[in-house]
Formats: sequence, structure tokens, C-alpha cells
Amino acid sequence: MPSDVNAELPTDRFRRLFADTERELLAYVLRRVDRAEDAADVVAETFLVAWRRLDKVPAGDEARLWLYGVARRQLANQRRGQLRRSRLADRLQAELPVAVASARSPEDHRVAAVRAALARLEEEDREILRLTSWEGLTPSEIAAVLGVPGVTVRSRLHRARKRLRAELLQEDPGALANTSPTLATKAAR
Amino acid sequence: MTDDQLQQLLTAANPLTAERAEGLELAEAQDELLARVMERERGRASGRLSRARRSRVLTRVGLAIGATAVVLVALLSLRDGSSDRGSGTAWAAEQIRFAEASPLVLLGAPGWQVEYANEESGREGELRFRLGPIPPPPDPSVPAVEQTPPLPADTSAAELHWRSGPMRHWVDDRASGAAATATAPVLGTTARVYQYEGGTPGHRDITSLFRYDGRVLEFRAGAADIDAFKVLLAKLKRVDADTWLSAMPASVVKRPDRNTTVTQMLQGVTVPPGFSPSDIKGADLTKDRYQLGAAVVGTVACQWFKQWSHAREANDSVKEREAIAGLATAEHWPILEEMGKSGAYPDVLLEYVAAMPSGEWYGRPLIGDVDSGLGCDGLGVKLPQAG
Repeated sequence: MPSDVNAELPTDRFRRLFADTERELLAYVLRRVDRAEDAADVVAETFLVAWRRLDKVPAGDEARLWLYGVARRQLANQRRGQLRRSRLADRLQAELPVAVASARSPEDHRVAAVRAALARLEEEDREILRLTSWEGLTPSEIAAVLGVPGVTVRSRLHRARKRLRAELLQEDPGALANTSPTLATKAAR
Repeated sequence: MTDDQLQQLLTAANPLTAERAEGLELAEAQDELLARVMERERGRASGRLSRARRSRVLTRVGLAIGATAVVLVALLSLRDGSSDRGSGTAWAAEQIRFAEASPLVLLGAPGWQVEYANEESGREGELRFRLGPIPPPPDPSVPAVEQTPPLPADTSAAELHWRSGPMRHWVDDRASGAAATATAPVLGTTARVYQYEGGTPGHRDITSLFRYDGRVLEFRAGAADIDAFKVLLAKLKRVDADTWLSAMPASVVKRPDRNTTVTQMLQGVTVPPGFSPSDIKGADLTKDRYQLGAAVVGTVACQWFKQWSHAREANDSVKEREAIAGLATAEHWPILEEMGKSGAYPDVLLEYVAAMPSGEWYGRPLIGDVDSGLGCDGLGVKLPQAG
């Protein structure tokens, strides 16, 4: 496998990288923006970085983690209003709101409570919970995305769960004490 | 509410599931994006990959950000009182040698003291400084809930890390996302300074990188602005080994006490067959009780996990059960009880132990995560690769 990768032309490798990761990266970004159209520039800039620095993109599944790390910085730039507006993703930007509108998961009062509790956490806690639950990453993978040791991830995850639990119980101690069959079904997916 | 229940709630709160994302009708827009990106930068990408290098960078970034290793900036101002720690103390030759393997740098600003020191190896380490009084280490006799570790809101803190290897990887990483950059003189060289967004008006996150004594040093602190940071940065001073060691906080285990401390930490710990205290690597480095405890417990645990993993591969149920039973006693190890008052290491280890019967960790082989999480390789325990 490594020798095949090394022999691959850059253009071929980037096309393959794009094909293998674009949907997961887009989902990662969409889960973190308020407006679907805002995801287009973040995804475009992330892939632009990957194309420029293709020699630094790790092979295999680590590439996805590397892209998440880049996208995190682009999201931070966007929140600060520093993400440049390019025309690379005009079409994607135009089509995303319509495409995503019907794909968003429904929000009942429990889901709303969880999202509200997440929003009250510090970004560090929020992100580690999202990476675990929404991206389904292991602590080791999260460590690669965040650039911290695995043991640190587990410490932070433990702390983040504790804080979220406290937020939830404070918000609605009765209703959230047990998950509903609906939630259990959704979680099992 | 259990972790599983919390996980269910979080999963249900995912605004866009993987299945729904996969079903988005965006193929043409994505194709157009791919074509435009490649057209924009055509020819700029190089054709060779360097997976190993990237992997090393990620690992090192991780070590650097999270671990506590380091360089010291201590204060020349120094410690009040403690009779056996003043400058002029006759430190053991071995301790002096290890100290000299680290950048002998302290923060010579009034009121700043070394709060925490840890050498990950002879080449990497970390010092943390705090402006103001240093709280005493956790008292093992006081329940964790009654201890109050959080910093006062007005406390200022700084960190000094030292690492080996090239500086460019660190520059790339720290420059990315910086809101402002500058240069500043420090220790006879020039540091690159990066300020990040966030914080409060009087407390911005600012870091700096520079080469010193053949290592990459990073000094990071909260400051009102880059000018204020530069003033603090300029207070870094080189000192002799004796002064450096004298600036270590009381939480650092002194060399003469090291063997006794390790022996005491091993009390009540179930060790695997063949274990010897001499297996504990890095016990001679500058570490506080928590980090020394992590080295002691980590070595024991990694050896148990090694036996467990080999036994599973060999279908040796006796050895496998022995390892599981041995680590199951960790719940009652006194040293873990003590460490639990300062950090989450015991929680992490016990989660691993609980996963031993299934051998899986979040759907992956447990052994791979144990290796990276406990740092078994760095502790000198080679675990088999996760399949």
C-alpha cells in the first residue's frame, strides 16, 4: 500500500483523496455551521490547503483526520470573519441550503435541550464530544485531529461528559435522567 | 445518567447523520469544486508523500501541547523559605546531570514561581509558572471534592516547553490560525511570536518559538497584548543547574527521595510476574508526584496489558485471566486514589481495564489505544501492534 501511494501521481492522489473524504468532510463542517451555505467556503479552503500541501497529507484514514484538523482552523477563521470568500465553491454554496434543508435531523425537546447544553460548554469540551459522538472518532483519532496526546483526550472527554451531564441535569433533571426509546433507537442507528 | 445514556443523547443531537449526509444530492457541485481547486493550484503540489514525517509531526504536536514536559523558567526570585531547597543546596550529581540536559532557563520576573515541572525525557520537558503563591500539592488525606484546584480568576500563568527536532514543524503549526505575529528578542536570539483570538481584553493567548541550546523552546502565556508578552518573554534567563533545581516546586520529587517514593507508590499495587522497580523508565527525571506516579503505574499496567495481549494471541486463558484479575485490583491501588485528586489518569486507566474482557475500545482493538494512551512505548514496554 505505501509503495502504491508513493508511486501515485499527485493529481491522481488528490482526486482519490477528494472522492474518499469529501462527503465526510462536508458533513463535519455542516454540523458546525449555523447556515448550510457557510460550509462551502470552509470545505473549499480545506481542500485547497490539502492540494497545496499534498506532500503533508498522511495516507490512509489518517488523511481524513488531517482534513478535519485543517477544517477546524478554517471554521475558526470563518467565525472570526477572516475566511476569504472565494468563487471556488459558488455552486456548492448555492445548492447546499436546499440539499441540506430536508436532511437535517428532527429536533424534539430533548434534542433541543442537549444542543442547548452543548452550546453552553466551552468550545474545547464541545468539540471533543462532537468528535466522539458525531464523527464517531476514537480517542486516538481525536488526538490526531486536535494534536494532543491520547491520554489528554481521554482526560478531556471524561471532563466534558461530566460537564455536559451537569448542564443537562441542571436544565431538566427529570426528563433527561433516562433516555427515551426514541433516542435509544436513533443512537443505535 | 450513565455514559451510554449520555452518548445516546449526543448521538440523537447530531444535526446531520452520516447516512443523510451521504444522500445529499451534490455530485455536480462537488465535481466543480474539485476541478476549480485543482485548476487554482495546478502544479504546486509535490508528488512525494511523507507519511512518516507527518505522523511524527502529529505525534510531536501532541506531546508538546498536552504533556507537561519541560523547560524551566523559574524564578530567580525564588522560593521563600524552604530550608532544604535554597541555592547552594548540594544536589546529587545525577540530578545535576539531568538538569543540565534541559535548557537551564527560568522566568526571572518578580512574583513568578515554577508551579510545575516535568521532563518527558532528557530532551523534552515543560515548566509551568504562576504569578503569585503556589498552592500546596493535594493532600491525600482530604477528599477530592473538598480540594479546590481551580486557579483564581486573576492568576497569571505561563508555560515553557522544550523539544528536540526541527523548528519548522512547530512554526507551521503555531502560525496557522494566528491572528497576529511579531518577533521579539529572547536569550540572545529572536523568537517568533503568535497571538491568537479569544481570551479576555486583558488576557490573550500568545505563544513564541525560538531555538536555544539545540532545542526548540516555546514560551506561552496569557498577556494583554504582544507588547506585554514581549516584556515577560524578555525575563527568561539562563541560570546554573543548582539554581534551576532550587526553583523546582515542592511537588517535584527530589532525587534522594526517589527510590523511597517509588517503593511507597508500589505499595498495594498488584504487579505482573517478573516486574522489577528498575523497569520504571524515567524515574530519575524531574517529575512531580503525579507524573512519577504515572510512570510507576503506567509501567505496571503496560506490562499487564502486554501479558494480556500475548495471552489472547496464544489462546492462553490462564495468563489472560491472570492479567485481567491483576489489573482489576487497580481500583484499589492507593497511588491511583491519590492521583485521582489531581487528574484523570486513574479514570482513563480504569476505563481500559473495564474494556479488557471484550478487548475492544470504541470498536477498535483495545491494545492500540492502550499503547498510545498510556505511552507504553515510551515507558519501555513494547506492546504487540493492534491487528
